[in-house]
Amino acid sequence: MPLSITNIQRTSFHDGPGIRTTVFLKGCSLRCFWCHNPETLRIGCELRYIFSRCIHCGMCTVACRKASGPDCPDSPEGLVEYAESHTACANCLQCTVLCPAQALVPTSRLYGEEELLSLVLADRDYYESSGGGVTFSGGEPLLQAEELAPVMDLLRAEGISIAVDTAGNVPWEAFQRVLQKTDLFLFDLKAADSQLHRSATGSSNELILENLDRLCREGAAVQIRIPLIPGVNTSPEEQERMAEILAKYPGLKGVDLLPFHRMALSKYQQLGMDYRAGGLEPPDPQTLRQIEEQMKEKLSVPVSCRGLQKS
Amino acid sequence: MMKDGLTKRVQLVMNNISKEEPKSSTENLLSLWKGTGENVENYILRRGKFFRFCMGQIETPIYEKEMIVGHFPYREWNCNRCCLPDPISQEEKEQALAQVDREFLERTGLHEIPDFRQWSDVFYGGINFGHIIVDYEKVLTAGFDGLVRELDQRLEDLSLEEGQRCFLLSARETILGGELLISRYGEEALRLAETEEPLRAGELREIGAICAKISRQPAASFREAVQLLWFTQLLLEIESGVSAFSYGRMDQYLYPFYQMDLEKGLLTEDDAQELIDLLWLKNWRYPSKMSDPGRAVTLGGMLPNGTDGINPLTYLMLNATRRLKIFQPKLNARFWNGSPEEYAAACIQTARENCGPMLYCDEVSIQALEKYGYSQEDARNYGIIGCYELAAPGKECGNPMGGAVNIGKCLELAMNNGASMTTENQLGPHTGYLNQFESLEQLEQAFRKQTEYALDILEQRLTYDALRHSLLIPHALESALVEGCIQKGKDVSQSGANLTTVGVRMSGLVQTADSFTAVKKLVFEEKSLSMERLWNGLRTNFAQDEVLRAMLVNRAPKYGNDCDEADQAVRSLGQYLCGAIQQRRHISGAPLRPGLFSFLQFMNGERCAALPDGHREGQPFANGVSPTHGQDRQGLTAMLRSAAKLDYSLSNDAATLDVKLPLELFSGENGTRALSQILRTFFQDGGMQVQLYFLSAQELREAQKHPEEYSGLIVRVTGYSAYFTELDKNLQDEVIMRTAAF
Repeated sequence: MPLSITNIQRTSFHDGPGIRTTVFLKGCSLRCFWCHNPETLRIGCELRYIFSRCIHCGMCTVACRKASGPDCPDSPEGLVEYAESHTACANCLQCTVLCPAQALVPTSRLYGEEELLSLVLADRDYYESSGGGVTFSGGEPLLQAEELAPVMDLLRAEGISIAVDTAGNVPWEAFQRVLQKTDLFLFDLKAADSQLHRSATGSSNELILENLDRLCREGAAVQIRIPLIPGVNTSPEEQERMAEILAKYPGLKGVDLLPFHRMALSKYQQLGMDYRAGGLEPPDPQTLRQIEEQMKEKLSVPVSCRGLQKS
Repeated sequence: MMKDGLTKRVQLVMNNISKEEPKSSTENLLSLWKGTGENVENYILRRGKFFRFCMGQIETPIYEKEMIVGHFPYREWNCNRCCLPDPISQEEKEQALAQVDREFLERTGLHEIPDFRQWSDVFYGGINFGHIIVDYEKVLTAGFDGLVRELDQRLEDLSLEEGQRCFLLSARETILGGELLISRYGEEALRLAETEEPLRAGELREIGAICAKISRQPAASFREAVQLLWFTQLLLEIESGVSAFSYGRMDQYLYPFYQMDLEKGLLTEDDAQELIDLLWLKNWRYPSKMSDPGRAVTLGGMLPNGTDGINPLTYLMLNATRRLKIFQPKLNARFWNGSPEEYAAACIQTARENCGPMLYCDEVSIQALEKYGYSQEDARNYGIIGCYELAAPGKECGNPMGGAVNIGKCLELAMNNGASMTTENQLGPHTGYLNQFESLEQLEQAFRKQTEYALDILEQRLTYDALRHSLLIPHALESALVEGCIQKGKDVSQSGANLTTVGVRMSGLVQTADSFTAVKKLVFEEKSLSMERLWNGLRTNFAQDEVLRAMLVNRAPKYGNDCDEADQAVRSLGQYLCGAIQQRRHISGAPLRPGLFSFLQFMNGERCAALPDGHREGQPFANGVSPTHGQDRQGLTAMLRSAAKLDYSLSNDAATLDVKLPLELFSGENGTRALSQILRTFFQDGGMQVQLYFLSAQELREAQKHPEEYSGLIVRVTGYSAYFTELDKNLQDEVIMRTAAF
């Protein structure tokens, strides 16, 4: 069964140990308003319009089954409007086939096992020299756990180390499918308070916490990742609650604190989606240091905050 | 780790550099010499005598707080030619040039000298001065008197011809001139000591004693070795111009002196660091108009006996460059399987200042040199000349920058029946027009005919140049320090070295291969493009057909993305070109040495019409085996895997890959470790050379302005990545700010 993938990113350093290839799988069961990979949210393939690549040739209008050919506007503003009308389009993606500049691209495509394997094995020399491997991320990769499991088997047979970057909001059965095949889980924790979690991500966190508990009890290698979102979980109280939960698991590999950033804005524009975190300011270094210290105090496992370590 | 601070002396010397712009001129030296009434019939010997005379005349400035002295304060201190006047008469010169012409016509069988200038867009041919690694070790261990003794011994041979005798005598005069200059520096130091305050007076007396001694004797301490090394460099550059006289394996030949002094307790590591810093600052002085004097230093790597050559000096030298943040001398670091991790880390930390070093894989480089014909010992002992060219120190006159071919232009000619598409000048044979070709093979055949034709004329051009050099431009001191010249009694310009040849580099390799790939894919496989449309689009530089260009850029695979189809095209084109170049010969009889690299002013994209890879008329090409700007879009490892697929066993001159890295991504210890692992893997996979380039905030601003050239630049935050140029302007600014903070 093929997998729906938005991007295969080589030379990744931040998604597990060593040099890695990160495979971003399509579809997610959460709707965190700050999500920095909005192209992975929905299950189906969408149209993405990368304006900076557009050469305004109008080929897309020839392909479009909805718009009539000649009304392609030739001003940038007109094109943005036009493209936005496309995102409410029939999603036939014919324009992406014809677009010579690759300004109109599909957000994802299907990869068969063989193709995916050859792509992620290309850098195996680099994995070996650095202790790296392959990370399945997303979106929520475990939404495709059934399709993922056989690929993992093939990778394991090749001796490739595997990490799974999950938000945890999937039935335990999905974890069970990959549990024995995964060397490291990168497990997101967004909020300890369930109400808060629901308002921020669209879903409560009981299932997530239960899965975390089970994973740890099964003895899986788990690295926690906490996105630090101002107004959601950067208060000392909420950090305290998260630390309380994590303190129950002394076997954790560590905790990464990942400060909010606004880099995703362009992607939202390209997808014609509303960026609800647009008005949010990234946390300042002082707040980050406080949070890092607070976590370090409560936890016996290594805690590090991205963006704070300098040489 | 060595300490980071610079001594007060080093800071002061560094601050004073800008105040030392040359004021005097060497113009009047010739009339002064004529005033002495000395004249010599033989031109080579006359040059030697005149050189010696000049060394007795020129100024010997010693600057504030200097410990290592020697400077050439003349306006003529210039790139690429001798800065002293030439003691040759107009008549002699004309006679020599007439002889060059006669010999050229005789050798080539041509009836007239071609006007090579008409091909200036197609190739470059011009043997440079300098661009050599002489045997510095010989000077340090034998001393100038040792060299004189060697020459005297050789001169006892009664079977020597007149020309040989004159060359040897000329070398002898030049070396005596060197002795004279060094001893005059000693005298100047003593003179200055008389009026200086006591502390500095003591230092000057020490300088005076050292100069007096090393003007004739070998170096007996680390400081003497550093001082004698710099004087040798200065003398070579006075004789031949500031032109890529490269130091070779300096960490190797200076090490015995360092070790000896350290053992005797005469030197501390800090003392040695200061001396190296001062030597570095001497090399940081060069004519202000020059972009790059090419004073390359080679560090680390395998020794001829197969063990690793890293020693404490290697680190002191890296440390000097990292702390001084200067890019002369130019560092080159050799790597092999036996290089320690600590060395890799030190190289990367230095590279982060964007002052080098360039990195080399020993296994691949040594194999290429051996394949060309170097002995195992010489190949293992290679050093780097100028920018990135390989050479056996003290054993060859390889002229690695002598020739260049514009491969992209050859393709242009192949598409336009041998004529330039911009000027319509006929520059090659008539091989048909692009829209007449019915298969890829026909285009490739036309391309090969154009290339072979260009190389034939380049070979003639190099022959002409070599003859001109041999009659007009002797370098006696340089020759005395290159194996073979004294034995043969011949100057380096007369093929006195055991190996004399010319390196031929190329520009537009990747663009040309990508062009073939695009034609193959779009015209012949997909058939989504007609030759007619392609031809019209190229001829008009895509003016009416941007869609065509977008298709060529985006719909055909490009080298640099680990795509076999595109990568193999570059590999096979590179193999063909290296082979074709190596079939041509220097007048010494040695095959020309091919290099998969280009050089700044000869990147030649600006002299090339539109090409089927999407290259626009006048756009610069990428350097060496680097992917086209912005076309490597799959990340660093994919790009390195593409580059590792090429066949470097034939490119024994050099092969350069520029890697641009966002500073932020590779900062800190983790960044260093990751990069070191990446580089090791690249070299294990078969990569030959790599130049790391860390993008600063300023360069990201450039990327903002010229997005097309940087479209492969990836910005990363945990779990998120995007192409920099596709970010909203405000976000780009945010990334720039983050980068600036590091």
